[in-house]
Amino acid sequence: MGGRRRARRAPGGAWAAVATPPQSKKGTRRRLWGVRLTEDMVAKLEAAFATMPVGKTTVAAYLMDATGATRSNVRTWLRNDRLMPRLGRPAFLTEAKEATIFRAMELWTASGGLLTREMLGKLLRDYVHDMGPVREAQAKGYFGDDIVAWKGWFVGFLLRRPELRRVKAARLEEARARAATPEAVAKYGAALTAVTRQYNITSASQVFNTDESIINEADVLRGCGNHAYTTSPTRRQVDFVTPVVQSGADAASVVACICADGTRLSLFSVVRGSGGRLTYAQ
Amino acid sequence: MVAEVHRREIPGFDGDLRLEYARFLAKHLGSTQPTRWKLLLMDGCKVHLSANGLAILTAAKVVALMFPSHLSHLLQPCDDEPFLKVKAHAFRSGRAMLPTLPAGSIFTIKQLMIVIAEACPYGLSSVHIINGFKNTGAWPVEVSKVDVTRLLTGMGAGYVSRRFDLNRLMVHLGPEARREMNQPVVSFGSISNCGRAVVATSDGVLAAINELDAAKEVALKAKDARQARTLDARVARAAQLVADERDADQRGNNTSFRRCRDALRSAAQRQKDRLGGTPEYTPVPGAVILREPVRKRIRRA
Repeated sequence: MGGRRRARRAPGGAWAAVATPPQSKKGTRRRLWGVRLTEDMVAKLEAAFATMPVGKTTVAAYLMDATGATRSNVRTWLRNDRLMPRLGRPAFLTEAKEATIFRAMELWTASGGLLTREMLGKLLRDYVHDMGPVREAQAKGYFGDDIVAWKGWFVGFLLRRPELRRVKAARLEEARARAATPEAVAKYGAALTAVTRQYNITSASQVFNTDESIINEADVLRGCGNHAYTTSPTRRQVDFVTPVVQSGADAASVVACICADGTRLSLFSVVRGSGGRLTYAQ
Repeated sequence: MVAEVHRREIPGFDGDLRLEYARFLAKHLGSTQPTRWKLLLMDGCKVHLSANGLAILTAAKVVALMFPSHLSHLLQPCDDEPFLKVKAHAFRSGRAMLPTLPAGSIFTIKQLMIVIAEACPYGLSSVHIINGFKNTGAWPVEVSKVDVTRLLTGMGAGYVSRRFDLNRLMVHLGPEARREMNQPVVSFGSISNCGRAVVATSDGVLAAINELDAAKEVALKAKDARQARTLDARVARAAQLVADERDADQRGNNTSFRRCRDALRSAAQRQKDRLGGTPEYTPVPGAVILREPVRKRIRRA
């Protein structure tokens, strides 16, 4: 197989990499993303492509039959305009130079900056500018005149540096972010310890937690929407299906009381509506 | 699945329902270990601070500890694995149910309750519940289980590089926390749990809640009195207007008043007839008509 593979990317958020201390053997276990196609295979593909009948619509299938290559290889080769992408570390960036760029990243994260993909590119660009005109010319030949590193280079760099890992931006209310201080958590821990001592709470069966959670129809149906089924043999993918209609803002809140020993009280629900017979209640 | 179901227009708690739930908790928790104290962890939602509800819990030997505000996403065991798994399984149950429903039919509250009934036993399983308590450090009590990196978000660049040990910080802040948990601070008409854990069933907090309730009662009575006064004033004004109109009608129909009015009208008519049809606006020699100057409109090129 070969070619540039799509990086595993966190959905919804920008990339952000965090420098972490090297973990034992984690980096060596990582699978490298793809290898180059052999020269013979590329030649076979070129020959098959040249002799392909005009108007052929199933190009990938034809090339697979003609050369014996896998679908993944063929599609990668076609996607890259029948050229093999450049893989691995660029020749002008030695391991020592990449280590220097990595140290600059560590400094940036230590100063509190978020190491996004854009910032990673900027650090690379700044470093290349300082490397001298010859190296800069080589970098321009590799990355383009504006020295904007492409996605594959980032993927390779992250693979060569297992200390870096991608983190996903999660949604958090500002009030929660501001309230989440170590002092508040430490005070909570101290209060919890004090209460357990004061009231002689020694067993898990004496500790309970109660909370409510609202589950509404819209959320349930939205969550189900990713999976639609069809019996049609010709359309295996369904674009949009509306099997049911939600009725306004129907919702129910589930109030749970759980115990630290793994048990719970029976559920307490509050359902939207007033009066009438509860057809679902037993 | 055994469940107690209540109906309300907004599917959430209000004061009465919270009281009902407090009775429910007292009934079940009180019967488990009647002679021993039980610890109930809960968030500091305003509706939870009902004096009657907390009194019922105290009677059942339950001590309620409120989390610091805006920290339930880190500290609440229910929010960790149990509810997360309930919601995840609700999607799965929903997906399994969808093919059985005819296209275009309405997804009713009945189906939603079936989904919840299937999801809850799975999400609130023993493993998930125990994991929820462990991950949040609630039981066994171990605050260092809280993800430290999540405590430093949104605090500016300086905080990100901060290094600290939660256990040492806990020891350091222990006396302050013990003092604060029984001494309520009232803020914006409620017990504040900002940056502190509060024992909701402590005497201090119950006294503060009672004071707040009394103040609310007084304010409510004053509001009712003010509204009643306003209503009375409106009614009186409307009655006065009706009386005035009636008086005016009576005056208009009075014989002596009508005679006087007719006399004045006939005198005016006689005067007009004598002058012989004078036009309304008679030009006076030497008069100059003044008009307001009109501003010139500037035309734009």
